[in-house]
Amino acid sequence: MLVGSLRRNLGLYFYMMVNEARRYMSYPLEIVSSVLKRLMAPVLLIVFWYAVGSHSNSTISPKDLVAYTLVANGLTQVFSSDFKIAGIVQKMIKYGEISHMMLRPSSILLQTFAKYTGRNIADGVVNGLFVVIGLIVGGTSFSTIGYLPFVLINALVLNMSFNLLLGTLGFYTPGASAIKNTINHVIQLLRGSTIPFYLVAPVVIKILNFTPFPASMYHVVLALRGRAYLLRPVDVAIGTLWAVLILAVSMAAWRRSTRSYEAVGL
Amino acid sequence: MKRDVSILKGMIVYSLRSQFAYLTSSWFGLLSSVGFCVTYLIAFGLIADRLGNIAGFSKDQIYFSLFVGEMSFLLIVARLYDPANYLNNLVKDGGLDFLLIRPFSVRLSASIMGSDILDSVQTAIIAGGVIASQINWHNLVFSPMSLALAFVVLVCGYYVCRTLIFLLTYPAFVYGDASESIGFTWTMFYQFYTPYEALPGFMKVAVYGLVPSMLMTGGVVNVALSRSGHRSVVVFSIFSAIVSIIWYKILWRRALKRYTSASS
Repeated sequence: MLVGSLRRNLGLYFYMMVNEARRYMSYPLEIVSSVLKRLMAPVLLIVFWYAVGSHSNSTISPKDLVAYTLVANGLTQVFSSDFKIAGIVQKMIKYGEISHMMLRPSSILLQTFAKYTGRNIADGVVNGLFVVIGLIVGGTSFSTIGYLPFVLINALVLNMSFNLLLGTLGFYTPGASAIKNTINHVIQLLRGSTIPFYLVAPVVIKILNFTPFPASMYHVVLALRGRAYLLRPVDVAIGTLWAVLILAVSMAAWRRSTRSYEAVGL
Repeated sequence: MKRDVSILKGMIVYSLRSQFAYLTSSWFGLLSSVGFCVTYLIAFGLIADRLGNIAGFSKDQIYFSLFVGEMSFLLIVARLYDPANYLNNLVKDGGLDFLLIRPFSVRLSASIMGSDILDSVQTAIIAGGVIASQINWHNLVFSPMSLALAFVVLVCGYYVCRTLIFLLTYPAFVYGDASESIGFTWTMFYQFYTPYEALPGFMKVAVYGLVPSMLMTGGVVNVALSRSGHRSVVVFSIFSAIVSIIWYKILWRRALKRYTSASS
C-alpha cells in the first residue's frame, strides 16, 4: 500500500518536503539555533567520553570512544532513532491535524516522513558530517562491507516501525509524548547510543543481541567502522527477524487505530 | 506592601490551580524523568563495573554527580526555562503590555506565573529519591565548609544560567519569537556530569566557561567533594556571577527598549 502510494504521489511528497524545507529556511535564526544545538550535544558527549577514555586503566582509547560517539550520534538523526517522527505523529493526532491528512488521497505516513525530512535537512547535513568525521577519526575497513546493506535495511525498518508504534500511542493517551520520551531513554541505552556496548560486560551484549535494539543502531556502527570481529551473521539474522515482526505489528496497530479514530468534524 | 503580598498570593494560587488541573500530564512527565534517571544509573553502573572508574570518579561519586545534575536541571527548568517560555509567549501575543502596566515586578510575575513548581517538586522528590537511594553516602566525604562553598557555586551558576537563558530569550523582543533559541537550554543539560578535574586545562576553561550548566553540576560536585581545583572553581563562579548579574540588568533594560508594545 505504502509502495503504491509512493509510486503514484512521488512528486507530491517531494513537493511537500521541499515546501517544508523552504518554510524552515525562511527563519534563519531557527536554522542557526538548530544547527548549534545539534553541534553542542555531541561536543559535550565527546568531552565526556574523552575524559572517560583518558582516565581509564584499561586499553580503551579516547579517540575510539570519540569516533564511536560521533558515528552513533549522527546515525540517530539519520534513522530518527530519537523518535522525532513519532513525536510529529503524536502532535498531529493531539491537535487534530491528522483529520485533514486523512482527507487527502495520499498516505499519512509518507506525508509525515516528507515533512520530517524537509524540516530536518540542516540537521541531516550536520549529522551526515558527524558520521564522516567519526569514520575518519576512528578509522574504518572494508571487512564488513558485505553486512552493510542488511544492517542498514534492518535499522531503517526497525526505527521506522518503532516510530510508528510510538506515534500510534497518540490515539490512546494525551500523555503519549512522555511515554515516548521514557521509552526513548531506555532504548537509547539498549541500542548502544548512550554508552558504547564494548564498555559493558560481554555477557550483557550477548543477551542484548537476542533483542531488536542492537540491530536498530549498534550493528550499523560496527558495520560502518569495520568491526567484523564484533558483528556475527547470526546477530544480523536475528535483527532481520525482529525487523519483519515489529514492522508487521506496527502496521497492524496503525491500521487498527486509524480505523477506530473518531475525529471532530469528520 | 499589603497590596504586593496580595498580588503575589493571587499569582501563586493561580499558578498552582492551573498545575493541579493537568495533574495526569505532570505524572507522565515524572515517568519520563524517572526513566531518564534509571537509564543513566544502569549505564554508569555498567561502565563503572567494567572500567573501575568513570573519568576518575567512583560509582558513588558519579551517581552523586547525576543527583546534583538532576536537581540543578529541575531548578533551571522551574525557575528559568519555563518562565522564559512564558515571557516569550507574552511578547509574541502582546500579553506583556498587561504585565508592564501592573504595579508589580514583571520578572517576578513571569517567574511565578510561568513556572510549574508542583511538577518540579514532585519530580525532584521521586527522581532524586531514586538516585539518592543508589548512592552509598558513607563513601562520599563532605565537610561543612565544602558543602557551604558548593552551595555558593550552585547559586553563582544559577545566576550565570539566568543571564544566558535571558540572552536566549532576547530575540523575542527583537524578532517576536525565540522558541528555538530558548530550546537551547535543554542542550546545555544534555550532558552535564563531566568531572571538572578530568579535563585538561584548556578544556576546563572552554567547557566550564561556555556552558554554565556545568558549574551547577560538575562545579558543585568538585567543590562539595573538595577535589583538585575546587578553589579555582569557587573563584571562577563568583567572578562569573558578578559579571552575569551586571549583564542581566543591561540586557533587561535593552530588551524593554526594543520591545514594541502591541498597543503602540
